[in-house]
Amino acid sequence: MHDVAKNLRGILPHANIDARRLVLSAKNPSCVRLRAILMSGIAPATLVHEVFGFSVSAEQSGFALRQGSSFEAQLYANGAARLIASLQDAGLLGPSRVSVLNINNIPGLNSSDARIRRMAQRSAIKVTEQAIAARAAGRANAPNLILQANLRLSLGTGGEEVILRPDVLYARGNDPVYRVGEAKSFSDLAHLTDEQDVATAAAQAGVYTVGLEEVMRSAGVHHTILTEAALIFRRPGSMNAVTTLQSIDRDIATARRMLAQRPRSLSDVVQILGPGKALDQAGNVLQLPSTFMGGCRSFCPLWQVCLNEARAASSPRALGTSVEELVGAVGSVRRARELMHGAPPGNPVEADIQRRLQEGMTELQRAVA
Amino acid sequence: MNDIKSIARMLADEAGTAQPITRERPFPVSDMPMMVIPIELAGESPSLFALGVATGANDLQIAICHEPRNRTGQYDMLERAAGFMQSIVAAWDADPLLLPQIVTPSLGASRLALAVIDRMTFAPPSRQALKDLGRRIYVADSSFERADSSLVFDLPTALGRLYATGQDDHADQHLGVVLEWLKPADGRIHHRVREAEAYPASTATSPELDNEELVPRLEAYRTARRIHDAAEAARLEDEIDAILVEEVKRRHELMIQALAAIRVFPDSTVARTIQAADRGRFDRYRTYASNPANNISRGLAHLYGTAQFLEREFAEDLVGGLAMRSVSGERSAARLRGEIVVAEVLNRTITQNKKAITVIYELLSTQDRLSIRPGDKLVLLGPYEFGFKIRSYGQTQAGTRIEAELTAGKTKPGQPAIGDTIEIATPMTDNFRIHRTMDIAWNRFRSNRVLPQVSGPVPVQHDLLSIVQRARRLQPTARGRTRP
Repeated sequence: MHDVAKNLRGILPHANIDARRLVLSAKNPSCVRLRAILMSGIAPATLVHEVFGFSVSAEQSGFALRQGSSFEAQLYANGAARLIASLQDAGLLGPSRVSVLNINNIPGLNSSDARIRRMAQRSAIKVTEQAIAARAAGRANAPNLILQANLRLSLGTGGEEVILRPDVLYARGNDPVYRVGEAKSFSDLAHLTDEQDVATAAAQAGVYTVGLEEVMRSAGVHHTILTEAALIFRRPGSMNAVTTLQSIDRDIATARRMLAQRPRSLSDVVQILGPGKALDQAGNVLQLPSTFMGGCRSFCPLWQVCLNEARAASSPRALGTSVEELVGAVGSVRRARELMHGAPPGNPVEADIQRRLQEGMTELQRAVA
Repeated sequence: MNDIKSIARMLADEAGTAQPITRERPFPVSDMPMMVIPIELAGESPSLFALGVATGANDLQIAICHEPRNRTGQYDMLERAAGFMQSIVAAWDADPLLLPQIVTPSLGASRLALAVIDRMTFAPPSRQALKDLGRRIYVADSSFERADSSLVFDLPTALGRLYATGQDDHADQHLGVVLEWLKPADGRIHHRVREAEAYPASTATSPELDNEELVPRLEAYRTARRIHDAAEAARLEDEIDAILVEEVKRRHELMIQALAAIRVFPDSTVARTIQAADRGRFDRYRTYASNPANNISRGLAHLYGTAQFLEREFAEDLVGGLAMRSVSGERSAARLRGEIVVAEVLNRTITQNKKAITVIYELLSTQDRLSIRPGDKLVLLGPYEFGFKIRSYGQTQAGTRIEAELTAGKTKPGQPAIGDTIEIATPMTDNFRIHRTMDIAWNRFRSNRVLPQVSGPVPVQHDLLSIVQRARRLQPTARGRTRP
C-alpha cells in the first residue's frame, strides 16, 4: 500500500499527516479531493503551489508560532504544574496526587537520525497504549496525565497510518478512561472568545478522541468513550491556562463521518483516477470530485482551485449554501437564471424551481423598486 | 439568509456587481460613530499593536504600542487612544439626539473592540482615566449581537443586509472584497476581488507582513532597548509606526467607503426604534455607571445571563415584527416565507346573535408557502391592525382557501371589503412566543445554583508554611511511600 501512496504522490514530496491535517478533512467531510490528497501523504499547500502554481501561504505568523510554542513549553514545565493547576481549577483533576507521564521524555523522539526517531516513536506508541490499558484495568500506577501521547489511527483501509499526538490525556481519580485535552495559545476572553478558535480546538479534540477510541478498542478496552474534552486556552496577559470542559459529541461524529467517507482506501483513489495516474498533474487532481463551500477559504489551501472550478461549471456552490439549497437540483446557476428569465422547464423539478424563482424575482423587484 | 438574497446573488454574479435587496436601512447609523480599528499581535489577542479611532470625518487618530507584550506599554497605548475616545463619548453625552455607536471593519474587530473596552474597564487602579472611560461605554458589551441594538456593528455584516454580492457568505466577511462588488461592473470583478483579498481587512496583519517586516523589526527593537541603544530603538519605532499606520489607514479608508454606501439608504421605522432603544440604554447605563458604588456585571453569568436571554428573545420578536412592517426587503422575504399571508377577500359574512357580532372572511391566497395553522391569531398589516383568527384552510385549484374570523376591530371602519387584497401576519406581541420564552427562562432560573450572600470584607488567610509542610508530608519517597 505504501507503493500505491508513493505512486499517487508522483514527484510530490511525502508529508506526515497529523491531527491538524485530519481536521482539515473533518471540516468538509464530503470532499473526496482533499481526503484523497491527505491519504496519499501530500501536503495540500505544496500540491497547490507545485501543480497549480498558486502562491499559497501555508505559513503562520511568526508571532503566533512563537506564542504557541512558548505557551506549550510553559504548560509542560515543572512537571506540568501550570497545566495541573488549570485542570484542578476547572474541577477536572482531583486536588491531590497527580501522576504525570510525559511521552516527550522518551529519548530519541527528536533525534536527527530517522532510524532512532522511528524506534523512539514505536516506544512512545507502546508506552501510551500500556498507560491506557493500565487505567482501564484500574491499576494504581496508571498516570492521571499523559502529555503528548502517541495514538495510532489508520486513515481508511490501507491508507497512511497517522500518529496523533494530543496535547493531554487526563483522567481523574479512578476513572477508567482518559479524556482529551487540547491546549491552544488562543486567549480565553470569556464570552468574547473567538468562536472559530473554539471550533478549531474542539474539532481537533474530536479527531483525537476517535484516535483514542481506536487505540482502546485495539487494546481490548471496551469502556464507553467520553464525549467531553478540556479546551486549555491562555489567560490574556500571562502564560497561565484557563481550562473549559467542552462537549464534543458533534466533533466526534464529524471525525467518524470523515473517516467513514469514501475514499476509504488508496485503491478507491486509484479507481477514481485510473491506473498509473499521479496527483502531481493538475488534470488528475481535478478528476477527484470536490465539494467547495465558502468555509473552505479559512482552512483549505486548495480553495481557490475548487472555487475556480465551481465558477467555471456555474455551480451553485460558488454562491454559497443558500443558493445551492434553492437551485442545486437544476445543476447550475446558468440554468437557474434561464428558468428565472422564462425558459421552458425540462421536467417537474425545474418547473417547481422556476415557480419559486419567479415568485422570488417578483418579490425582489418589489423590494427594490 | 432568504430566497430574495439568493436570487439577488445569482443576478449579481451575472451582472458582475452587487444588487440591492431593500429600499430602506433596517438599522441606524450614527452621525458621529466611534470607528474603532484594532490591529492585534497575531496569536496575542487582545494585545494590540495599534488602535485607530475616528468618527468618519477626516480625524483618524492612531495609538501604537511597539511592544504589545509589555503590559505597561499596552495601557499607555490605550490611554492615548482613550484621549480621543473620551471626546467622542463626551459628544454623545452632550447631544441626546446623537446615537452612540461603535463601528468596526469586521466581526472579529467588534469582538476585539469589546475586549479592549473590557480591559479598560477592569484596568489597574493606577489607570483611573481608563477605568472611567471603560465604565462609561461598557454598555456595549451587553448590547453586542442584540436584535434591538446597533451600538456595536461591523460593516461587512451591515452591507450584507443591504446588498447581495455574487459570492458566498464567507467571502462577504472581507470588507475590501464587498466594496469591490459595490463598484460598477467592468468585467473584471473576480480579478479585483482576488487583489482585494490579498490585503487583510480584519484585526490581524498578514503572516507574510509579520514574518518579513514586523518580526525582524520587533526583534531588533527589543535588542536595541535591551542594550539601551536609543537611536536605533527610535529608528525602529519609526519603521514599525510606518507599517502599522499604513495598515490602520487602509482599513479606515475602506470603512469610510462602506459607511457612505450604507448612508445612501434611508432610515426605516425599525432603524429609528433601534436608535431610540440604544440611546435609552446608553443614558440609563451612564446614570448607573456614574455612581462608583455600582458594580459592573462582567460577562453573562448566572441570573444576569437569564435576564439577558429574556431581553434578547423579546427584542428579537419585536425587531423582527417591526422590520417585516417597515423594511421592503424584509417584507418581501416574509411574504416568500409565508409569514405574511397575501390573500384576496372572496367573501365576508356578518352574523349577529343578540349583541354578539361574528364577522367571517373567506380569503384566497396563491402563495407557494404559508406559515399558518387553525387557531393562529394574525393581524392586518395596515393603518389599523384588525385582528383575525384562522378557523380553517384548505387547498383548492385556485390556491389556498382560508376561513378567518375577525376578532379585533369589528366595529371599526375601514375593514377589508370583498375584492380587496390584504396582507395579514403575526402580531408584534405573540402570546405563544412570550410563554415559550418565559418557560425557558424559568428553567434556567431553577437550574441556577444559589450563591451564598456575602456582606462586608471576607478574611483570607494564606498560611503558606502549612501548605508546604503538608505537601512535604505527602511527597512520595524513593520507595514509593509517603514520608511520615
